[in-house]
Amino acid sequence: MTYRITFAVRDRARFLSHLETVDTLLSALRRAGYQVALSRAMRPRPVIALALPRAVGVQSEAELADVELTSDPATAELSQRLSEQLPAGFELIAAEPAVGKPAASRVRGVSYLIEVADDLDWDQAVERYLAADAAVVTRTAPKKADKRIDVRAFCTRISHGPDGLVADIDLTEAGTARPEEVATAVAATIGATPTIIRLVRTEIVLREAPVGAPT
Amino acid sequence: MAPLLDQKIEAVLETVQKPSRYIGGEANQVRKPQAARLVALCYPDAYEIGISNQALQILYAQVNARESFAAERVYCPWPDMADAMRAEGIPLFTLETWRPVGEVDMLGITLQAELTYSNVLEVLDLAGIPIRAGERGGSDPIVIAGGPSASNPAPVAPFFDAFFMGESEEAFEAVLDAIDSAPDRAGRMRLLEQIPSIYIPSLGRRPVERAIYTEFGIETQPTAPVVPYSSAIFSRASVEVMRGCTRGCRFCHAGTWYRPVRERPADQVIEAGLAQLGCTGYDELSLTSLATSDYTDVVAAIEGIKQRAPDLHLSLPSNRVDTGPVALTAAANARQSSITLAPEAATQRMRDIICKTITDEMIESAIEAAFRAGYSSLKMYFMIGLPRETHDEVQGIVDLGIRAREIGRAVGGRFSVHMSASNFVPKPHTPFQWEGMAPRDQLAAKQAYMRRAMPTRQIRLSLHDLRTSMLEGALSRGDDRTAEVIELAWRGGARFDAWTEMFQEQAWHDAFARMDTTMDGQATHEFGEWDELPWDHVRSGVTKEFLLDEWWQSKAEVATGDCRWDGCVDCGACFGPVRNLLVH
Ligand code: SF4
Ligand code: SF4
Repeated sequence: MTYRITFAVRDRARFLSHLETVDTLLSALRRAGYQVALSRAMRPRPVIALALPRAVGVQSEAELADVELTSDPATAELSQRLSEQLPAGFELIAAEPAVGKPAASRVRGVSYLIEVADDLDWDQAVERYLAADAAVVTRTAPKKADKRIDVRAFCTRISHGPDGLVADIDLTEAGTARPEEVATAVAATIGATPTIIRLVRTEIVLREAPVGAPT
Repeated sequence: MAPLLDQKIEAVLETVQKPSRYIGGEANQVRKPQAARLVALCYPDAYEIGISNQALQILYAQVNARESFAAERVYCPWPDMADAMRAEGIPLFTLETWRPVGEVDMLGITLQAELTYSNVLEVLDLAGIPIRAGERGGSDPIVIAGGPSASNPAPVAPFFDAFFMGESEEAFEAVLDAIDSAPDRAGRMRLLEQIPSIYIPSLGRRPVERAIYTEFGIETQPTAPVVPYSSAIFSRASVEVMRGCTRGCRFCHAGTWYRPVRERPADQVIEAGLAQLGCTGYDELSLTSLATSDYTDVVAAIEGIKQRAPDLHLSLPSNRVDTGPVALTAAANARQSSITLAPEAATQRMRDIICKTITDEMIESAIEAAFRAGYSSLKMYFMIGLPRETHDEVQGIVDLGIRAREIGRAVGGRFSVHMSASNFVPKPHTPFQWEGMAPRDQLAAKQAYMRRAMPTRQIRLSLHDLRTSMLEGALSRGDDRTAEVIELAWRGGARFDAWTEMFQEQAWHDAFARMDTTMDGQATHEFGEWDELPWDHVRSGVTKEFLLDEWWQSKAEVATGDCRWDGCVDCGACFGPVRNLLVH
């Protein structure tokens, strides 16, 4: 049976890579006494998928993983046994039977808390950002051509609170913006550069599963 | 708010490659922040190499088993991290609690390979501990070395307060007692002096004995090793089924250093293996030893484990070349597509010289058995540059590659042959300890010949980096002056020498030159029978007379039998409770 596991990755564990996170979950499940189903490929792989990769260093309060077990334990039992086996920095939030298509194919948006240094007028910057038609930043990557991203096209819900910027970022067919790009674009409206202290992913938003969709 | 050091570390981790190397927190890590005595255990290489070391996992459990002690792990930070730490003033810290290594009671560094020596200095320097033992004060940790390369302490002697020789399980308890019972560094050093398996360089070259764990087959090893993050080179459970090997291959350091043979009964192996799988979550179990197919109970262990865990991925490190081990490996593990054989030398003459007691027929039937068992990839290990090697031996490796391909074609199906040749490096405490390494240009010519002569269809050839082999040769039988070279090279930028992309060859050449010598001169140096060797004071148990006799036998091209089956040849290792302990 396939389960959807919601979990937090905090503290030092946020420095694990996407692959290391997957492996950590897998080995915790095995220690908890569950067998993860194997794919029917030439080189069988455990059937597990995280809804969205998490960049190294980003804390998350709501990671989503779909994992197929060879058994169908009650969710309460699964939650308890898995919780006991997760290493430092991981916390299980929920384990439920997965309904609808895989979470990875249904991610509509991501919410972040972007903790920033209070060294600039964020309220004014957010106001200007929201009033602008576009907010373009340049994305650089090694061995790739620079890319211009209109952050405004992906992020229109943003506010500044006591902990930092709270932003909802859309994932669309045209792509998405990264949280640090959002902070850069917002600060740029008042000619400033942000100092980012920490990125916290607070929610992964899925598209509704059609009613009656197979699990 | 996190302490300042933690904040600084976190900030740096945002900027480096693979930050998971430095965070700890893995399943089965032990955290005892309140313990009165703190021991840092260091493998002086990257996390993914060090975490896979079984001996250090055993020691970690051993130290943590004491209530008043905490063992915490530390590895050599990758250069990007080391540079960032220096820039930010972050001292080397342990993984478990991020405490500065300079504040622990004892820092144990395992010496598994000569090519980690420059990293030893890097670790000490990052920890803020004076590089030279003589410059350390009362508040500095006692820095102690262990591991197989400690068997020739001379090249790194000035950097350590003490060396522990041999197997830790029983004898290291005395070291922990010394740390526990004396309140200060000087008092602890005085207690360490009295331990027979401890060598203290500042007291001169006194005799020191290798510690041997006599209860190996009686006690079960700890079963909850730390589970590394996925980047580790080995991610599997492992049970050591046997310690020691008496096959007596004349190039082999382990074949002396872990004598005699001690086996664990199959039921213990099965229980320990299953328990470890349960608490680690691995889906693979390896039955480890120097030569697992020699383990008397190997079939019983495999069958017992398969019965209790039918879907398990079982692996045997296969080094012996015989149809028996091939069939065993196939029986243990149906999922694997590749198999490794280690004939080491391709001609009978050379196998007699090195005392590898296998025949051409055995090799060929092992190859055939491997292909018939369905393995599609066959890997074979060899050495070049062995003593008294002629062109025939090198040609023999090429011929054997071709022969393996012929056998593969005759059996049919898709397959590939992978021929791997390393460069022979003479090691202390072996019958070849007197031999020099082959000169660099000769090895280069042999490598070039093999590249030309070995067909490429269905055969892959891999050859070891000559530059690092020569350095290994220059360090392994080094003396006091070698220590100066190591320090100069490290000051010149050498670190992570085993990583070809990191290797600073020039820094080493410059360092040797400043000591009026050369890397190649040191590596190719041949000792005379009557020479005092830098490691003579280290008593492995195996006598120098025996090694010398074996050296002569090698010159006569005569192999010696294995005392496990063919009777004792008086190597000197056995006395009292120390003897070959087979399960049947
Ligand atoms: S079989 Fe030979 S090479 Fe292998 S461990 Fe034994 S002595 Fe060493
Ligand atoms: S003393 Fe004899 S039995 Fe013991 S390891 Fe040496 S050769 Fe073998």
